[in-house]
Amino acid sequence: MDSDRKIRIIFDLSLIFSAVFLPWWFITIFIILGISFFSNYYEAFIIAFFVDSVYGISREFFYGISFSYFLIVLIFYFFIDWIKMKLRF
Amino acid sequence: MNYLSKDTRKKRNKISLIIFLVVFIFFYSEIKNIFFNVFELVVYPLWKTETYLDNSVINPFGFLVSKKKLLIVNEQLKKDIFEAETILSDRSVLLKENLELKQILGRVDNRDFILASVLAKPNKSIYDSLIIDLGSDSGIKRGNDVFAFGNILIGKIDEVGKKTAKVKLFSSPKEKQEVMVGFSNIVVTATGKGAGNFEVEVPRDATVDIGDPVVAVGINNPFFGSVEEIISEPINPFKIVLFKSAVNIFELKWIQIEK
Repeated sequence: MDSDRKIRIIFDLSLIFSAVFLPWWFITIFIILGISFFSNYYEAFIIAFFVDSVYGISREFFYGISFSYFLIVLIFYFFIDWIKMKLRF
Repeated sequence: MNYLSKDTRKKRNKISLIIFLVVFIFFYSEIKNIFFNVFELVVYPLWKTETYLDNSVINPFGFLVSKKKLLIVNEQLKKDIFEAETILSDRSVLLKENLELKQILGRVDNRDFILASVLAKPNKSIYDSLIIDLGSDSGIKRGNDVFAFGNILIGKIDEVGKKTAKVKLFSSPKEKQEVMVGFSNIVVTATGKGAGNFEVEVPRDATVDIGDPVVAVGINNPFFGSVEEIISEPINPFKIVLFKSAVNIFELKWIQIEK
């Protein structure tokens, strides 16, 4: 196993730990770091879905769309991906 | 045999991803409700262990606190307890009188409560929700009222799993709840502002002062909180009253659910 994959697995485990035990802003920082440093960081969506399932309550915020952490992570993902593409030479 | 070009394949992949996301988001609420029961099985034992450790482990740095400081804190706490007991003795008499009067008038309080432990506090998610260690196995149902310290109404049960349930706090952003403000019992709709805070609008001439009680509408008038700040502007016919829950929702360990 190459070291990049090892780092990614350790990072994923930390992300799971933070999703269960740590405050929401900690998870968000981890997700932003993950999307920024790893390519195709789809684990972010799984964690966002986990957060929505475990903690989410029925709440509507914008024209009846159910408020969700998943949507926020989706926006983060495409935004950071776009920035990464722009910064590539 | 024709092979698709790399660009066409990429385009097709993108389109399928977008279609998948649209369908996934459309049925998102249903999918996440199904998975709640699955995740609950994994998370429940972890949270139970965390709560157990939280309650049983003593602060390891406690021995570093000086004796002098401990004595000062001890004295202050003794004074606080004495003051609280004095206030409580007066309140006990009033409560007894209140219950007797309700009994005479045929309005006996027959509410049935069940005690639950808080597994996850609002700071764990952006949802401002509580997760408790009782679920459908204990007879908890969606819509049950949730109280702290017996008579402080804090929210309602929103979703029920087998062993856990989610509590939607009234103080969650944009949540609405009918309340009575002040000693003149002005009935208004309180809007949640998050983290145990609320906002109401009352007519500018209404008599509301800082420290006035805010109670829920109903015969038992569960306590909500007390007025913290009043914002009044000459051009506005209404004044904004800010109040906060009587309990710190971030320090809650136990809650009661009305069955």
